[in-house]
Amino acid sequence: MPGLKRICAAVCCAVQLLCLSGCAGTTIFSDFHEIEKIEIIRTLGIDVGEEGVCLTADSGVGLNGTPPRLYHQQAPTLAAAVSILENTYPDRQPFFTHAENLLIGEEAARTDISGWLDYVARSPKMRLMIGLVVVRGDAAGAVMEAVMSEKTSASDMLTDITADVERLGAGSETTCGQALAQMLEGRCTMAQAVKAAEATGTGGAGQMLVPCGFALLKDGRLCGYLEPEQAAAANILTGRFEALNLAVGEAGGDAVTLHVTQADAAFEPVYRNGHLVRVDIRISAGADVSEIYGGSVLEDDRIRAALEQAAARQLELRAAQAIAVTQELDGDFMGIGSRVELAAPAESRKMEPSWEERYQDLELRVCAQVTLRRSYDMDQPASAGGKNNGK
Amino acid sequence: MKLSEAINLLFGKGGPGAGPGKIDKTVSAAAAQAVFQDCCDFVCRPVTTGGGVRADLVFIDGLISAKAIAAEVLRPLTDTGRFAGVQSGKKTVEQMLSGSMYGPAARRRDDMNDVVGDLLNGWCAVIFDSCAAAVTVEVKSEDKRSIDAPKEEKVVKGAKDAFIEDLRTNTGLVRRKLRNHDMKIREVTLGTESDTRVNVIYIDGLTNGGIAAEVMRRLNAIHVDGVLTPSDLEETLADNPVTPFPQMISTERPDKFAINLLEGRVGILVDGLPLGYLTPGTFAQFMKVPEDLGNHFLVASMLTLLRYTGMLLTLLLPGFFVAVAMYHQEMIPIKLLQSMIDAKQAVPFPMAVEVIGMLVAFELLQEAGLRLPSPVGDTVSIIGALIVGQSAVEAKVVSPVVVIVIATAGIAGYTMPSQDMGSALRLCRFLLVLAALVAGVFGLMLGVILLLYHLCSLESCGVAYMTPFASSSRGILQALTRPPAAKKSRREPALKTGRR
Repeated sequence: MPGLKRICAAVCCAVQLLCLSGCAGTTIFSDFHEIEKIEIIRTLGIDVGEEGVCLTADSGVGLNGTPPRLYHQQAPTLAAAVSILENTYPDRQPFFTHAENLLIGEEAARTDISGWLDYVARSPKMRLMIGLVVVRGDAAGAVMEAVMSEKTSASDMLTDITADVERLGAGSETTCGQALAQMLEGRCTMAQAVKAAEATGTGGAGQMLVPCGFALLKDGRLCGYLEPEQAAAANILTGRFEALNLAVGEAGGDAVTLHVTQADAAFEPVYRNGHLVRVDIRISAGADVSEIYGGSVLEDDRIRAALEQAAARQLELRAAQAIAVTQELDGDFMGIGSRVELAAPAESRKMEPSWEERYQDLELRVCAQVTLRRSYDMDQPASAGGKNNGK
Repeated sequence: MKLSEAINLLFGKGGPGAGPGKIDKTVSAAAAQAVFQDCCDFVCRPVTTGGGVRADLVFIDGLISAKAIAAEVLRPLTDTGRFAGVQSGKKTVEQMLSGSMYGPAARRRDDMNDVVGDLLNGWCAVIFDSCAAAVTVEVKSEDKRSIDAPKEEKVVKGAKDAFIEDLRTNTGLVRRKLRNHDMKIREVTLGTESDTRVNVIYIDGLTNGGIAAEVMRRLNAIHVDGVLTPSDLEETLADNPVTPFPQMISTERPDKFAINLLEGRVGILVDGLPLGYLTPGTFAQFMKVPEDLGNHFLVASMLTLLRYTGMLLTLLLPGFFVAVAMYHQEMIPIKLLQSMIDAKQAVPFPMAVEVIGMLVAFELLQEAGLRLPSPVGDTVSIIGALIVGQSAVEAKVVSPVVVIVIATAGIAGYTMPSQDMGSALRLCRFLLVLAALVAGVFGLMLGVILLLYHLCSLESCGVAYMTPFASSSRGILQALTRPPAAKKSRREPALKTGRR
């Protein structure tokens, strides 16, 4: 009898497992795909259309050079558009799980995008690490069509942009998960902005995507942009700085380009009688000389000090402009409030009115200090350190 | 003549008074001839002793050494000096047993059954009809396979001798490893038709007496016609004969046999089989090789872990690949996924058919290589691998990733020290692939859980099969690695040996 019970149990398990199989009509686990019939989608473009959502899906260039493919679908919601698209092409079923970028057109970004981000968060087909990108001045679908050729597509360009944008100082990657988390906390957020430009050697496409700073999103809607120069400063203020090239103009008759390799921002709230009166932002940066026209000019300490001052002024200007834009839009897009709270948690908790209410009118004073580290002079060996340029 | 006797005579079942299994107890030459009627290798030679007593020398040709009979039996028996004045059969028997014979072993037999048993074991018998008694002398033939290096268990660093078919030679090999008077060898005869001798070996005072007694009990409970193949013993002694997982360690290496005796296991040697068995056999023991004791402990530990990795790879890799490729493509990195999609474009078969087909092809190649003579077998294996691997991929019959996965799993399976364990894992691999086919990773995990449940439910002579993984955490480290000799302290606690 015990043996018979075991056999019955095994048969019952096997019958239940059949229900999990890919057999049509009896499935409860129907996630079966033949691998050769899936088309990996790397970029999703979202625009608003007559029916609601216009979805454009880009497969990108294949590993062995297969030309990219674009799929278009309109539907009332993003979920409906994805579902229709999956069922429209049975022999090349779009597979969204490896999507790398969510590209939102400008017009669409001015509507509430939180619903689309919510879909990305809930759908098991999507991943929270999908990058959020806003197209400046155009529709996502149109840009994806314009930049596509046999050898390249928007997906490939966005992959390159994402890899290099922080090093170029033209912005930084924000994922859908990060953006949604900030929105759910009631905070403003920034997303990478791109625009279409004339192509230069991109495999035959007439246009290409270039980074153009940050798109500022408040309450899930696009309300403005930070230009690339301001975006670099925003990276410093948000702690996501990687590198930046600064052309500091002439020094002793030569044009000098500095490569800023390290930059940090420290936030010091100033309280008087328990009230926050201003926030001092101190930026400290280290830079190397990357290019001098006309020969070495660093033998003279005064010239070195002048270069450091000029670089510091540039950083201060950029940071101030970035802060001014955000204050004008009345949104702490760079998360300065959280940094202030970290600096003085006890006082921040007692702050009245709240940071969000005060941000627009609060004085945020930026002070930068740049240290030249290396010159890589051919005549002289590399020398570390330089004159301080404090204010 | 009765009808039954006529039928017996017609079909060669023996003459009047004799029948299968029936032996008259009275010792006589006629009785011996009746027992071995229609046996052309049975020899009966009349002999007159030096004292003039008539006797008959009987033996089975092929089992004995003619030189030994001539020198150790006939010559002293017919020596007039030795047997002068010994004129009765009874006194001749006494004289023979008191040292007049040169043979190393001589016995008096008063029962024909005993005489027959000795004859079948390579002894000769001198039968005295006058006193209904016989003296049997051991004159076994020296024709046996020489001790050679083990063929199935390659030795890299260690003794290179292996068991042969002769039981006494095998016990001698073990005695040479363990010169210990506490090592007991008890004999049991199994098989109603084959009368196969089986020796049970253990170290008194060290081995758990309960295990030794249990082994003896199980052996005595075996009622089979013959013990001629390993399965005759393995399946009858195993706690669970249904499971494909081996429950007794089998080895052709005397050093491994001796090491396990020292660990507290009970050994079994069978006459006619060049194998030694050891019980209890736990899962961890099937992953160890004697070379581990010869290598540096770090190297041995790394190799042991490598074997466990190989075990997991051979068991899980094909099923995991099927599950991920069919149900969970999101787990595959994008570049690999693109590569797999591109490679699979022109392949006409679904992924499931590919994987199962490759597994079957792998097993076919392996089986073909075993059955063919070695020069041809090697060539066929190589050609088969080339055909299956290279040509099938180029013809787009199978995708390269599937070939790589199955080949990796197959090669990983060859790291198993035990062929029996490797075979069991190959069988379970098929079942896990089927489970993954049905329900992806869920099915695979369900299969793994059922497998673990099955393994944990097994016992070997009262010891849990998954010892020490299912019992103590301290032993797990010793199972997975080899501690330095200075720190190796205990025998397996689960064996409950007499000495730690």
